Amino acid sequence: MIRRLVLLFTALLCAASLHGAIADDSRTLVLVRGANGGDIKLTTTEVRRLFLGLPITKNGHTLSAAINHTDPLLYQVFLQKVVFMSSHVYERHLLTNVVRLGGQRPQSYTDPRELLNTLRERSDTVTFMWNDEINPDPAIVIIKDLWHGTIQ
Amino acid sequence: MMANGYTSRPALMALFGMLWLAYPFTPAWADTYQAEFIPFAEITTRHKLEDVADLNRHETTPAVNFFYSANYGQWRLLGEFFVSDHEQELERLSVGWVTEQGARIWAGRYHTGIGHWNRRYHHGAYLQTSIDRPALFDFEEFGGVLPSHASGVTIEGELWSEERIISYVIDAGLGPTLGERHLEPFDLLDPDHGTHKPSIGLQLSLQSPNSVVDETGLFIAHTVITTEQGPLEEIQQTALGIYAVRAIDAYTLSSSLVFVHDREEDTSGSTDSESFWFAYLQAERSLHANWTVYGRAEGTQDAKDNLFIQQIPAFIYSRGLLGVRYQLGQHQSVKFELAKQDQYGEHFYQTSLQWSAAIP
Repeated sequence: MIRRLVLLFTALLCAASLHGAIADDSRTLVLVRGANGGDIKLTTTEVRRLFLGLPITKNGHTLSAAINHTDPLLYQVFLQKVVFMSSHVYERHLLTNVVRLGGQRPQSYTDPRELLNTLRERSDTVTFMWNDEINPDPAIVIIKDLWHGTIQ
Repeated sequence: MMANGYTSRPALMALFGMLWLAYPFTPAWADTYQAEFIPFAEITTRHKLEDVADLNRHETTPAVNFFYSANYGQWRLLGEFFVSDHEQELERLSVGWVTEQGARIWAGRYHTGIGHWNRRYHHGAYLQTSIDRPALFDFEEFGGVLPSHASGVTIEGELWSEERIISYVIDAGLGPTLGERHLEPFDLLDPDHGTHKPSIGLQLSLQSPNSVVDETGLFIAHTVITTEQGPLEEIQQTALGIYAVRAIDAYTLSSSLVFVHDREEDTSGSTDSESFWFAYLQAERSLHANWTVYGRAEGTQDAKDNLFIQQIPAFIYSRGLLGVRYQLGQHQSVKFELAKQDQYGEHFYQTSLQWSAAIP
C-alpha cells in the first residue's frame, strides 16, 4: 500500500514538474504602442490589415505598423499567428499595397533600442513583442494579446 | 508615350527627379518626410513556335519600372517610370491628399479603375502571378483597347463596417488618342502630342475584412477617343464590367466579364455603333511554399468585326495559357508560360520565360 502511495506521489510529482516545464515554455505575443498616444482598441482583423500596410485610422490618427525583426522566432510566430502568411508572400503583399496606395511599407527594426525609441517618440506606431520581454517601461503600453501558446 | 525616335531627355530628367526626391533634404524634413524607392526589374523572353507576320519569332526584353512614393504629412507623391530597350514612359505621376477619413485624392497621371488588375499590380511584373495581364486589361502600348492610363483627378477610398469593406474609385481625366497601331495616353512629358478628350470612370468593390484576397467588384468607364489615323475620327467607348477574386484553401480564382460599346464616327461624318464582350477565368494553385501553377482562359465575342479593335492589331482576341511561378528568395520570381493565342489574325503557340524582382 505504502509502495503504491509512493509510486502515485512520484507520478504526481513528475506530472507537476512536466506541467511546470510546459508552462515555462508558453509565451504571449502582445501588441504594444507608446503610452502617450491615448487609449485605442483594435480588432484582430484591424491588426492584420495594419501590418499588411493598409490604412487604419483610430481617433483621428492614422496608425503605422513597425515590424519587429529583432528576434527571428518572434517574427515567425507573427507571420504564422497574426498575418497567416509565409515570409515572401507577406513581403509581396506589402509591396502590392504600397504600389497600390502609395505611402510607405511598415518599417522593419532589427535593433530593439531603436524600436523602443520609435515607440516612445511616435505615439501612432504599434508593434508586437513577447510579453515576458517587455521591461517595466511607463512609456510603452500593451494594446492587446495577439497569441498565447507553447512554441514547439 | 515615348517611342523610338523621341528625345529621352525629359524622361531622364523625370527619373533623376524621382531619385532626388527619394531622400529627405534636412533632418527636420526627415521626421515628416518618408519615401520609398523600389525598382521592379524584369527580363522576358518570348518564343513563337511558328512564324507570325508582324512579330519576331524570338524576343528578349529587359525592363525596369522605377517606383517612387513619398509622404509629407497628409500629402502623397507617387511615380512610376518604365524603361525598356524600346521605350521610356512616365506611367504614373500623381500628387495626393489623404483626408481625415483615409480617402485619397490624386491629381496627375494615374491608372484607371478598370477591374482588378490595373490598380492592384500597376507595372510591377513581380507582383502578378502570370507574366501577362488578360488582353482587355493590358496596357495601351501592348495592345490594350481600354484606357489603362488617364490624366486628371482620381479619388479612392474605403467605407468600413464589421462585415465588409466597400472600396470606391472615381476617375475624371483626359483619355488616350488612337495612334498608328495602338492607343496613346496623355503624356505629361509631351502634353502637346495628340488631342485628348475626357475619360471618366467609377469602380466599386466589396471585400471581406477577414481576407486580403477576396474581392467582388464592378466598374463603368466612358472615354472619348480621337484619332487622325485610319478610317475613324472619334470613338465614344463605354465599358461595363464585373469581376471577382476568391481564395479557397490553396486555390485562387479570378474572373471578369466586360461589355464594351463603341460609338464610332468615321472621317465622312457618319456614325455606327458596335459592341463586344470579353471574359476570362484564371485559376492558381500553390503547390509548395515557392511554387504556384496557374492557367487562364480568355476570349472575346463579336470583337473581330469591331472597326475600332481592328485599328489595334496587337490586341489578343483569345488565349489559353498554362504557367508556373517559382519564388526565388524573398523578392524574385521566375515564371514560365505556354500559351495559345489569336493575335494578328493568326492562331499560334508561344512560350514565355520571365525573371522579375522587386529590389528593396
